[in-house]
Amino acid sequence: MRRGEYVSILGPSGSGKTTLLNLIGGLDAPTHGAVLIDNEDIFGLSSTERALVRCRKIGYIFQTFNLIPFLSAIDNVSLPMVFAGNSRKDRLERASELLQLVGLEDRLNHKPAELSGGQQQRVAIARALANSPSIILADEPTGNLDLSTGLAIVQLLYRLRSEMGTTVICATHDLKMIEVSDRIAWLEDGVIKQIEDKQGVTLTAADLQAMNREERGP
Amino acid sequence: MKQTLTNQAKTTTFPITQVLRFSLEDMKAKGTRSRITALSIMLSVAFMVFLSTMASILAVMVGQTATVQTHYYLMEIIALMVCFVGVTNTMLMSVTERFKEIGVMKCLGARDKHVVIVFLFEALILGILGGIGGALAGLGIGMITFGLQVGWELITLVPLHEYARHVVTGLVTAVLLSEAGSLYPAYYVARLKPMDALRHEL
Repeated sequence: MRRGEYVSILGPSGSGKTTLLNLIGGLDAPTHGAVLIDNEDIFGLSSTERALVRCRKIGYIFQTFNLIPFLSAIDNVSLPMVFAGNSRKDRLERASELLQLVGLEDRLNHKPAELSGGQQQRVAIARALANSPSIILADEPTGNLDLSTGLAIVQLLYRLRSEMGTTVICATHDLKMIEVSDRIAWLEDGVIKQIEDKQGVTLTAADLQAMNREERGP
Repeated sequence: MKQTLTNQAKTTTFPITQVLRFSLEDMKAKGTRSRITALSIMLSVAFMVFLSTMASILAVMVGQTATVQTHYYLMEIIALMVCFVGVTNTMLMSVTERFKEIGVMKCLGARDKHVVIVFLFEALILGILGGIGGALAGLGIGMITFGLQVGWELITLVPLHEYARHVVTGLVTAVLLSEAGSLYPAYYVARLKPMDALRHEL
């Protein structure tokens, strides 16, 4: 994985996309093997150090947004910076900057329940960016969103990635997300079958449908 | 990476103001269940303070302190145990409901310790509320019962500091009880891998 790259992970459900992301993010421990981030094995670290890696090096975006329901948008975005030990003033400043970046400058004090799905995912993206992580892990970020909202989220992710030089690793079924990727990894039964540059991939909606049909098969 | 890490803070932090906020919000979310937990702490502490108040007054009356106390303290121990189990049960249910948020917090950099502190802080608040209520209720009921039955002047014969001691003992017991009941649930949930916590809801 190279810095600033946008990699999509594709594969039928059950092929291990989410598991792979969780391993990279240090959310789940591998039975064997190692995960290296900046040449350091994150499972060789103590749990305290791993918490710090999660906090500073990795930003998460989930399919189900996973915002803290009782915190306002700005406090949700601030939370990673609370753990990082930033001062209150810095936190609020940076959080409102980030929310402005994702186009929610007029929703700072709304609770997640008062926001639409797309808006919640924007808050989640802002939260993922809070500590300027080197990697953003996105697990089907558009899975719970309608077509146009999903597209806006994809474009937002793409734009932020180019602006901030953050690596984005994204597990997805979504054709829109594949379009903007630099590289695509195909996953089948927990094994990466091939990694190819986007240029080499001619994928149509029909292919994806075929893939989904296979999944739903007997 | 080591270098960048040592340049900055070595570990993640979770200041007390945030702990307070998360604890209070958690209690608010639980609503009735929090109140019932506090009530059960209150009842068992009220019973305890009632017994010791009664023992003090009886001691002034007949001077049979020792036998009175042993007899009733057995009942008291049972009351406290029932309450302990109740607190543990409520807390286990409450942490299970919180799995997802705990998973998110851990993704964002929370350590096990931070999660434990949030729940123990909640237990502290419940313990203090239940303890104050229970101690005063127990003292009041004890005094009124005896006042009505054997006369109010007898109550005044018990030194004031003895009543105060019963109230303080009740309060301390309530806090210890609440903390002890929450300890296992808090550790149980804090030690979950973030992903297991997140997966829970799906």
